[in-house]
Amino acid sequence: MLRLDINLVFTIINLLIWYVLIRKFLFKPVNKIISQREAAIGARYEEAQKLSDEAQAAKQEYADFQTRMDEEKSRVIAEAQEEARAQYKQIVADAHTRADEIVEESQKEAKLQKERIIGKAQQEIRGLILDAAEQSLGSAQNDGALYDQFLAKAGEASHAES
Amino acid sequence: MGNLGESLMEELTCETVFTVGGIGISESVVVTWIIMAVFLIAALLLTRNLKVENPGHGQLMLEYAITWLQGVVEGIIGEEGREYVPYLASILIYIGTANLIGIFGFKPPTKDLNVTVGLALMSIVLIQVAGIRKRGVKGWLKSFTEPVAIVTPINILELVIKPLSLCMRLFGNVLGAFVIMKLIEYVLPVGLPVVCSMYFDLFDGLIQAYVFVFLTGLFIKENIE
Repeated sequence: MLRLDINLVFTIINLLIWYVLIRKFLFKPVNKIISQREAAIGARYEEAQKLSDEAQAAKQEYADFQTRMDEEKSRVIAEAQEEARAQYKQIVADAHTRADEIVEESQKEAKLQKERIIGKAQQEIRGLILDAAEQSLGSAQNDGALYDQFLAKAGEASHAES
Repeated sequence: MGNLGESLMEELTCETVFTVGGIGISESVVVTWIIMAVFLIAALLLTRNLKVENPGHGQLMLEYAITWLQGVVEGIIGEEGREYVPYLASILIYIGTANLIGIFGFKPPTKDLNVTVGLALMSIVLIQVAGIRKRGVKGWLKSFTEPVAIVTPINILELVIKPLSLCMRLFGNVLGAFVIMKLIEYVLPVGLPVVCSMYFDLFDGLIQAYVFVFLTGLFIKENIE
């Protein structure tokens, strides 16, 4: 019961072997698998984080793009409005000029026509007067007939004018 | 009564199982071999096909048990002594198994003084080695004069006292539990021994294993702080 002998040495050798065996065949594989799993979980978590970050970045980019689009849109609209306004002014101004020209031209034409008519009438009148004077000088016709003739001629002339 | 004494003595004696070249191999060594063989086979079987993904129930239980065991030891020794955790955990398994193996009809190896002395010697060597590794030989020698020089003889005495108390505590507890169980069985062979066995064999056996590892861990922690 209370003896110490060579078995003490055997026991110590046994215990050393026991330690090596347990460490190598029990703790090591189990700890390895646990740390592998932890690493796998960590990697997966990291991946999820990365994906989330990427999604966030894409969202941000999309929002930026949207903002740029809006800015571009309002800029284009403003430009178009500006252009339209300018064109409108131009058109209106052109129209005004054209109308003025037309009015001027027609006024000129009317004046010319008037002058022409007046000239013609004067010629006619001159002709008539000449005729009347010729007749009054050449023939002895009474004044009454002369007047009638003059009036008839004048009426013809004015008809031809109109 | 003489009968009891004789049978007790017979049970207590650690018999030499066989002799190789004049060297007697004791029962405790043989039982230790059996424990080693059983655990080696069990470990090889259990750690086959360990999976990272979707582990089975067996693997989960094994992982839980190992993690728990290491957690217990690490709780004693602390973060700094992490490298000593595998040794202490393996010793915990060994003493626990050795104390409980009486249930299967073997003689507990811890009932042999050779085994407990061996364990205690390894503990004190480990404790001192941990101290030397932490502080260097000079610092380790110096630590004997701390906190004051006058306690140096006591500190040197502790080199003997610590392992002696460790081994005697384990040995005495297992032996005492064994003797008490035998007495109870002699007085009342039916019923009572089952109840008492729960305490003396199972509970006390595991507690003693824990105490041994706890104290060793505590001494190591003391030396590496």
